[in-house]
Amino acid sequence: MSDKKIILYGDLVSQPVRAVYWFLVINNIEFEFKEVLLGKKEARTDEYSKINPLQKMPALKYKGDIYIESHNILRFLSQEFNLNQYYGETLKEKTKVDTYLDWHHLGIRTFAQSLFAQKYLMPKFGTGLYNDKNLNAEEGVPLGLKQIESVFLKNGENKYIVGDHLTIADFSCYCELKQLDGINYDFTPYKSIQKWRKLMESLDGYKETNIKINEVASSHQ
Amino acid sequence: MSSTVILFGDLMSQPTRAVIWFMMLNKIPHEFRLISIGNLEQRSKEFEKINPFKKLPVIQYENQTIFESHTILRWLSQQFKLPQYYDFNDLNNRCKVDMYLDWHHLGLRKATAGYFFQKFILPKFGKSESEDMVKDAELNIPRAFKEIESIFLANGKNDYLIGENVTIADFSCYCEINQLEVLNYDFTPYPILSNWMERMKQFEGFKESHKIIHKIASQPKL
Repeated sequence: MSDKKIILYGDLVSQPVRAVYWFLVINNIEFEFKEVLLGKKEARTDEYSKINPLQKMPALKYKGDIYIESHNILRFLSQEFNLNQYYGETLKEKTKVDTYLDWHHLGIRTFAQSLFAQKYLMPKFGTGLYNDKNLNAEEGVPLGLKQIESVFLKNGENKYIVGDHLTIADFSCYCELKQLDGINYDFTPYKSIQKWRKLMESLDGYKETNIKINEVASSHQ
Repeated sequence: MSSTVILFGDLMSQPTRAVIWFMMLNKIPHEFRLISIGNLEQRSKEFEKINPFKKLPVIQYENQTIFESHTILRWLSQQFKLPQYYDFNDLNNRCKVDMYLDWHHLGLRKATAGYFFQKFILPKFGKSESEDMVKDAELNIPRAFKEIESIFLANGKNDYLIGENVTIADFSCYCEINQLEVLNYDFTPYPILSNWMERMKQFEGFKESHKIIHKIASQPKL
């Protein structure tokens, strides 16, 4: 059946799209990438709403089913393609990965996303476009980073977010933090994060996945 | 080590209620230890040793400490073999539940918890609300409710968030929304959501897990 092939919908300027894209590339999972351009608000079209009524990205189509929410997609891919090392073999291991994934949304993403909106999107595209003026972003981002540094990376004791091996949590976390390069965010106070980011950047698929955001980062210098 | 689940939390906290309700309903032996939010006990040095994120709820079981309510709910369903709520044998069923659980944080909770904080918590401490945050919530709460009605409840076709049966997603969602009753939030524009809320109240443990929030909701408003 032709629909056995994965179709990923999204835009590589979106953090969660990059996480899924990178995960597919690194695992040599064959897929077709259908660009849904954020800048053109293509996620809000009637056509895309049929794929994801929540009008968010990424969305993934596989065997006729649609999967929405990047963490859900990453969990699904790990299990469907027997890549159990990325989500965990046992309940205990899965629980560790879930803890990061559940913490992520209100622990770091909401702040990082708002800061990026405030410092990059609003000045560039005007304030009217974004209602998300999260006032605490300037405080929330350093707090989230400190927690990643001390609780997840255990001040360098952990090589990756949940321990000594790479999991889907790392892809999600990396791609969120990477967005802050777009506003030249200073990561130097976070030694363990810096070390871990270098490690992530040595993985297959990094360059290809981050091409668009690296362009944003270099144009913002 | 004890084989009773120890739950650290406060019934004022939405995710604490979701977890305790789920344990009551499923008769999972547990011991509740109050960490009073009003006294900021979740920020104490002592509690920080249990959860470095200083958030509620947390559970301990044998020698494992688990935090983040969705992680706890997934864990409870699997550890205590309750596949009807999160099916460890069916990946597609889990994906549907996970889709809701992942959407919840920024799709619903950010707006509802933010609104509650601005309208209920800040005034208690004599602080005034942030106009931007209130406006943001006033825009995003109705959006979230409409999405729950049209997408998760499939315009009334679904009895519960992901289909015919109640799952851990419903408990998380209910406890978040129910919090707004304290502010006399008007749910009349959302009949499908209201019907689902009525349905949720039938589950054992509802009254007990909501006793504090109901007490506050029933107090006369200024």
